Parts: sequence; C-alpha cells; structure tokens
Amino acid sequence: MSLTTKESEVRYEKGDYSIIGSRRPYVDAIDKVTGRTVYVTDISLPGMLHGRALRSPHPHARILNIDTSAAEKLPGVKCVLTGKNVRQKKWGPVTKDEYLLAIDKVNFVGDEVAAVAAVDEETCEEALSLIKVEYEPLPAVLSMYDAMKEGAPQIHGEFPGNVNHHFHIPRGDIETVFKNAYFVHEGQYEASLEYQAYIEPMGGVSVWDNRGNVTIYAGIQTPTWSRNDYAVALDVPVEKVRIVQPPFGGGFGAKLSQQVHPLGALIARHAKQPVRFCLDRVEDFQCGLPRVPMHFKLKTAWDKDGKYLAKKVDILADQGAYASYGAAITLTAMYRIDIMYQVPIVHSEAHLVYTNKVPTGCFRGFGNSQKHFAHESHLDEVAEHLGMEPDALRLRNIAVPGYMNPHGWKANSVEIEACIKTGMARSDFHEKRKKFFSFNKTESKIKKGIGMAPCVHVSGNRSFIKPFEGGAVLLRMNEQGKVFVYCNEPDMGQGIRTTLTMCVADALKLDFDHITVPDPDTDIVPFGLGCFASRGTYMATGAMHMAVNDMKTKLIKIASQILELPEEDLTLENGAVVSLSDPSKKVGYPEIAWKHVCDYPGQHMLGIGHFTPAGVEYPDEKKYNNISGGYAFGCHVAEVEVNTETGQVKVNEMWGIHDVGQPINELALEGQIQGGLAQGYGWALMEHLRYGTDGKIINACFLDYQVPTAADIPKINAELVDSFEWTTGFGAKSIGECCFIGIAPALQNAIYNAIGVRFYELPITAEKILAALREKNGL
Amino acid sequence: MNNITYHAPKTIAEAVSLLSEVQEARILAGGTDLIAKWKKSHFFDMNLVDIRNIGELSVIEEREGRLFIGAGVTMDRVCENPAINEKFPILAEAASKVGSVQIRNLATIGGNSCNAAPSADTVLPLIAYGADVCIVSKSGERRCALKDFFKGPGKTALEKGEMLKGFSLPYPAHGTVGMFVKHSRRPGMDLATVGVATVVRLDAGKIAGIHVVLGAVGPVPIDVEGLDVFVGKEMGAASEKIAGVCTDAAKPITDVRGSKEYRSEMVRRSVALCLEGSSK
Repeated sequence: MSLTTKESEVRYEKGDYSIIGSRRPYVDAIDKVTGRTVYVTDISLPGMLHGRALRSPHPHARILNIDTSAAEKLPGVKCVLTGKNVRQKKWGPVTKDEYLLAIDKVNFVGDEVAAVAAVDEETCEEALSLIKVEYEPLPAVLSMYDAMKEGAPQIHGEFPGNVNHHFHIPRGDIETVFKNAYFVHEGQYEASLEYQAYIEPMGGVSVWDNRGNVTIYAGIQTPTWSRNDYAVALDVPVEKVRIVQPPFGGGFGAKLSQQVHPLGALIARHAKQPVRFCLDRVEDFQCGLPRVPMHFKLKTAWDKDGKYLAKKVDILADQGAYASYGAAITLTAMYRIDIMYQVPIVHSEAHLVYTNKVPTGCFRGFGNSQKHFAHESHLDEVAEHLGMEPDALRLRNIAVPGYMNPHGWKANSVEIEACIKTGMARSDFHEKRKKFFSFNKTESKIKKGIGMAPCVHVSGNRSFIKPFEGGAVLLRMNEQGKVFVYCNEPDMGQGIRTTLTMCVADALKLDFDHITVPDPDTDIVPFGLGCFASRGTYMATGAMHMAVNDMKTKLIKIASQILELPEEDLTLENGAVVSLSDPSKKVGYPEIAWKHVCDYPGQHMLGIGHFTPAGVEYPDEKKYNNISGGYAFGCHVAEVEVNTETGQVKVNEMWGIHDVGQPINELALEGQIQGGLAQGYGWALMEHLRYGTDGKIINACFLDYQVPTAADIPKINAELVDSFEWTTGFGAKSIGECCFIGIAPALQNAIYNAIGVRFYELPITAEKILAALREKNGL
Repeated sequence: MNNITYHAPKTIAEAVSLLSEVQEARILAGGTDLIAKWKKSHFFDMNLVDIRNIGELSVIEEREGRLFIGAGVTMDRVCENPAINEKFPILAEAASKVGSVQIRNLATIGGNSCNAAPSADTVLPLIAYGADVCIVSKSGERRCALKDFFKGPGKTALEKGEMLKGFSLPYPAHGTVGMFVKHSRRPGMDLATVGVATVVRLDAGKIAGIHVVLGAVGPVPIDVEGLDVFVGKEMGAASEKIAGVCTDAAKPITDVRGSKEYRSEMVRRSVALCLEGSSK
C-alpha cells in the first residue's frame, strides 16, 4: 500500500464552526503572565547538580593537553569531563561531525572542551577556572568567502575544501532562455547572521535511572525526533532516551536537536545525579544555532510584458563549525520560493561551507527568508526596469490553485492574489507611491517610501524521513468526561495547545475547562516530528479532525444505549449527547464516560486520529516530488521615512496579509503575524551577530545585539484572506514562518522607494544608509 | 562563593564612616550599573553600602539660591519633578531617555555620574547647566564643577572614603534655552551613540551665552571650549561654525555602536539641530 494518499481522494469541506475561527487567548496565558508556569530553567529535582562547560577561546586550535586535577579537588565538584576521558561518538542531525566534548581540536570560540558538575553554578565556574588547557592555535576560516579558497585551513578532514554539501538542481535549458530573453537581470545579495533571541536560553535537566534510561526535561521543539540524535551522541540505544518537554521560552527554530541536551545528559551519567545544564545568555549567543548566512547570485529572464521566464540562483551558505541542519536549510533557500511564481525553467546551485564560527541552524523561514530577501529585492529591480508596478509584476506571475512547479510540487489552496491585492488596498500603496514621489522632490530632509513583498512557505516539508510524513492525535476521555490531548506537534509559545483545545471544543461541543493538552512526554505521546517547518497547525489539526470524529462516534454509540434512541437521532451539544427530535432527552459526557469505564473495565474512551497529507511524497534523488500539502501565502507591506541627515529609518506602519486556509484562532494568528513582522523588522534594520578578526563575537549581549523593543515596533496590521485548504480536516494551513518572510524585502523596497538607493546586504543600518546617500550625492 | 557584606547606613555620617573603614566598598544606589558590572566581572567580593535609606540623598530642594538634587534621586523622579521640568527641562528630558521604565525606577542621577560612562545621558545637561558636585567624606564636604569630576571611562575624582552627595545647579538666566539630542541605534532603549546638550542664551538674535557638552565621543563627557568667541554673533550665521568647533572637539572611536566617522557626522548634525531649536 502506498503511504501517499492520492490527492483526488481528498476534499474536505468547510464545517459549520462555532469556536474555530474565533479569537481566544492562550489557554496557558494566565499561568505564564502570573509566573506560575514552570519553565525548563525553573526545574529542580532532588539531589540535582549544576553543569557548566569550559569553552574554547580560540576559533581554531589543536588541544595539546588538559589538566583537570585542580578542578577535581575543589570541594563541591562532583565530576570533571573532557573529550579524552568519556566515551562518545560524533553526532549531528544531518552530518555526524560534532563531539559533545572536543577531543583533539576545537573549531569555534565556544566549542566545548570540558564540563563539570558541581553543587551550584558558582562552584562550577570556579572549577572551570582551574582547568588548564594547552592549545596550539591554528589558522582559522572566519569568512565563508574564504572557505573554499585554495590553501584555506581545513576544518573537518572528511570535508575537503570545507564543503559540507554541494547541490545542483537544474530544470530545463536555461542558457537558451537567457540568450533570447527580452530582459535579463543579475544581482547579488547577502543575508546576515541573526540570533533567535528567544526569552529562555537553551537548557535541560537530565536524570538517569539504574537501568541506564535517561530522562531529559528539555527546551526542545522536536522531542520524539531528537531522541535519535541524542542517542547517537550518548552512544546508547534510542529507547533509553526519554524526553519530557515542559513549557519553554521560545525557539524560533534554534531548539531542534541541540548540543546542550546530550551534553547535560553525559554529565549527569558521570555525576550519577540529576544535572541541570542551562546556558547563560552569553553562551547562548556564542553557541546557539543562529540563522545560516547566505550569499546569493541571482539571474532572471523576462519577456517584455513581465512574464517570468527563467531563474538561476547560486548560493554560498555558511554553516559555521558544525553542520546542524545546514543542508536542508540551503536546499530550501534554493527553491522553496518556486511555488509562489510560475517559472518554467529554474536552476539552482549551492555550496554549504564550514567556517570557524558558531554553528548555524534553523530560524523561522529555514533559508526561505534569506532567499525572499534576495529574490523580492531583485523583483523590485526588475519591475523598475520593465516599467511595471511591483505588485503588477508579481501578479503577472503568481501561482494559481493546482499549479505544479518544475520540482513536482503542487499548490492546492492559493490565495496569493487576494493577499497582494488586499495588501495594496489596505496600505493605499499606489496612492502613497504617487504622493511620496512628489513629496520626495521637495527639499525635506525626510524622504518617504512604501514597499511590498509577497511570501510563501510550507505547512510541513516532507524531506526528513523517507517512510514517514503526517501527524497523530490521541484523545482520551477520563471517567469524569474530561478530554486529554496527546500530540507531538508541541507548543513552544506559538499557541498550538490552544489551537488543539479549540478544535476539540468545537467538534465535541465541550468547554475549555474540560480539555487539557499535557506537556509532551516521549513515553506517552504518539510519534511525530515536532514543531518545525510550520508543521503544527496543518498536521495536528488534520489528525485532530479524525480523532474528534472517532470520539464523537463512540460518544453517540454509548449515548444511544443510555437514551435508547437511534444514533441518527443524536447530536453533540454543550458537553452532552442530545436527541434531535426531542432535545429534552440528553446525556452528559461524564455519564457516558463513566459507562465506558464500567463496560470496558477501567478503559478510558479514546479518539484516535492520524493524518497523511495528500499528494505529498519524499523527494527523489533529483529532489523531485511534492513536499507539502499546504503552501501558505502572504503579502507584507512597509511604509518608512528615511532621515537623510542621519540615515535613520522610521517605520510608520506595516501590513501582513495572509492566506492560512481556515483560521483556527484569529487572536493567535494576529499575534503571530505581528511577532513575525516585528522580528523581520529587526533582521532587516538592526540585528547582526558580528565577529571580530579574532574569531570572537563582538556583540554577544542584548545591549549590543539589538532587537526591536515594544517602543520601536510600529503599528502592524494583520489580516487574513478567505481561504480553505481542502487537504486537511479543518482546512487550516500554518502561519509560523510565512509571517516572518516577506517583511525584510518589503522594508528594503520601501527604503529604495524613499531614497533611490538599494542595499544588498542586511541589516540596513542608519550608518550604511548615510554612507550610501553621501556616495550617491558624490560627497 | 560570593563574599558580600551588606551595610545599610541611615545617615551620611554613617555611610562615610563605613566607606573610610571597609575594603572594597561599593555604593548601592539604584544598582543598575553596579549589579551588571558585578555579574560581568565574575562576582567580585564587596562591602556593599546601600545608601537608599539615607533621606538626605533623595531630596530635590532650593539651597543657597540654587537647586540641589540629591545623588540618590531616581531618574523617574528627575523626569517628573516640577522644578527640574521648569528650570532645567533638558535634564528631565535626558533622564527620560535613560534605559527603560524599569531602569529609571531604580537608577539614580548620582549613579549616572559616578559610573562615569562616556555615554551617560544626564551628565550632559548637568554640565551644560553648570552644575557643581557636592562630595562628602569623614573630613567634611568639598565641591567641584561636574565637568572636572570625570577622569576617564569609569573613573571619577572621588577618593577613597568619599561619596557623592548631590548636585548644585545655578538657575539659568531668563531667556536661556536648553536642547538635548540623544542619537542612538534604537529609540526604544539604548546607550547613546552620540549625545549633545546645549544651553544657549540669546539676546535679540545674538548669542549672549553658549554651552555645548558632548557625550559618547571621548573618554569623558566633553565640555566644548572656545565657544566664547561666538558671543555677540548672530546665531543664524554662527551655528555652522559652532557645529564645526564641536565636531573638532569630539574624539570619537569606532565601536559596535558606530564608526568614528559616523559619530563625528552625528555630532555636527546634532549640534546644528540643537542650535536651530534654540533660536525658535
């Protein structure tokens, strides 16, 4: 039997929703804002020790000797580990290239050299200061542009030329198109190193039992899936690794598989006591997994009416010292955007290189944000060359429902046209362009501009596990009629717990107080990949649709026995099964649930649901096949004022218009859109994790690595267009990443509109703007 | 292990006697700089002298025909105080731009000077208004001009056993206009990339008095000298030259907040902006 459901078999219809589509505060919001929620950092177990790591001060160096004798003698120290005295294997989610503790060589400033467990953090710090490490510094690769140069220092012996992956995906005869096209445009763009800046740094608490099982209470987006990586790192069978995911302070992608969890577990194994291993903020800046910096060479071909004929992209991507998810992120940057535009011929090539800097990883958009910055800047340049409005050029080429692109991806629901048109109307885009054009001709030192960029992302990306894609939900009704939801599309602050609660409440006509979504525990929840690739809403609500129907059938069956009425006469209403013909006849869920527990002694009623996205297949060796069932679209618009005397940009207003299929929680969607745009605004104008020539980060603190504060963020207008994704039960696509992706290029385009200068690298700071203006004016 | 002894004197006399007796004394006023520094410097040992119980340090009152502001007055009180807002408006403005709301509720005006950061916001208007500092020790009280108080980044004229009691400000003459510009990367909360305070008195369009102080463009706040030559000149004609003198006086460096070239340019532009504002 094929694992893939044929698309023609699936066509869900929009239901008559009562809760779905309304605005609901997060079910866990009050506990969070009143300080009751226990985060990873708050966890304390009996006998718990603290762990800290000694980190390399060199970007690249050989370890000649480590002397831990003084540290071991310090009172309060339980154990001191180095790469030489523990058993370990190289691990990594894609490429196994990293040890928990370096053995012979360190590859970036922050690389773990030794670790200690002690009674408190201060003793750990003191112990670390007593460890003597002798290094032989080696020449380092501090720029991705140097990585592949002849004679460059080699970081990993297995990867000559520092190239971890080289991809080449050609579709069609591109050179002929370039030769014959009416207009060919080329440009180069660079997306910078951006830190996720979640509120809680990476961390976990690990405890081993006497049978060799480890439990890690972890701030993690992918509990079930990361067990596999962690088992490799710890060199134990995967069934020995249990992960419990308590509430944690956000991830934005950084908190998939992380070094901090298996290293904490390793320390706990040797200390033979529970160990809390949480990074401080400086460490988190130094060795979290920030965004993969990328350089793009883009070349596109067009006819005179603005029809998009071909696109060629060549990417250089910097994964830092270890690979993490760099390969998958680079692939996404190469071609994800190809489902938004109908371009028949697309070539993409990429080199993913190692450098002696922080390992880079997943961050909202997963390479697609970097590409949107490059591509949507490029398209504005093309529109200007062709004398077209920026939206008109896009509208001329956007995908339509059913569009199959050259990679074999098929778009189902597509409301990108509505997103763009609504964005233009709400922002009064064309009127403002005219007004600003006249205004900018005056002597005013302030110049005004407005810019736009459409955006696309997936709802789940089938390219990680060959035989698996989808999601599962297990509902359990206890003997009081309370429903528990077990699912492996976890909450990391994005609100999926509330989304799932709303689906149960809507479908089973049950109030929120009788629905609980426990923290995921890999000993209990169904298998699932976790929270990345904007999977959550699409996959989990797809599975939930089946699970609630399963439970509904069971409720009606038992109620029919209690009420002695035919099942066809029964419906659900207000926590009870009610007769359609005589509404006075009804039975509440507690009574039904109790009967179930008595009839099947002790058994709780279960609702089982699983979801396979229709028409989605694992990519073949040429990266062909549809990777997602629900492509989510949007259009971002930004209006700015640029002070030409200081270069400072004031963003007046931003708009985020999105196609998310059927909205589940409109309040949460609005929050996601505002948060996404605010974060993108930071990436575009402020944020840049910078390295000095010594290979150290020069702004590893929030004073110098600036993110926008509430006082900086302008008004953000969020709006959803009418849509329904028919491949999933409740018709919902995901928002998580799509709402970040368009705003950086929209801001770039707005700044260009204001001052006529385009910036080819992020962030666009006041200082860069002033320098560019002076150059433009020949000063 | 942290080795901290906590002292909470109730009077200035008790405080200065402690300061002269104990080693590694650190004054806790708002703590917003001290605690950050303590964390960053690996939790050094200290005798913590908490001065928040000393009532005399938190007064704002007229003394000897001048305004006295106690060193322990918090930034939020500086922002809201009617006398400061009326007579020294740019001091209130500068205080309102220090840190965040939470910081301003704790941070003190004395701490802002004693921390001696080149970017300190309130120092600029204080110098521009001609403030003196009142320094106390066991052996009594001394005064010096605030502009002479700073000896380098993090270094002040305070000797061991001394503490800052407060600031004494002469009331500006009628017709004096103060202007303040804090140029920073992020309006929400940031250290200044460049700070400028000007206090100008005009007499029928002509400059009768001028004082310009620059922050974050040198190791200590710069009280620009040589501006007396512009007294008697028309502001409109002189402002560009004054901005030039100020730009030459600035000694900016390149750091994570901005390059020296950009800072230099922002000094010129901010001074010009202040002078333009003064003539309105």
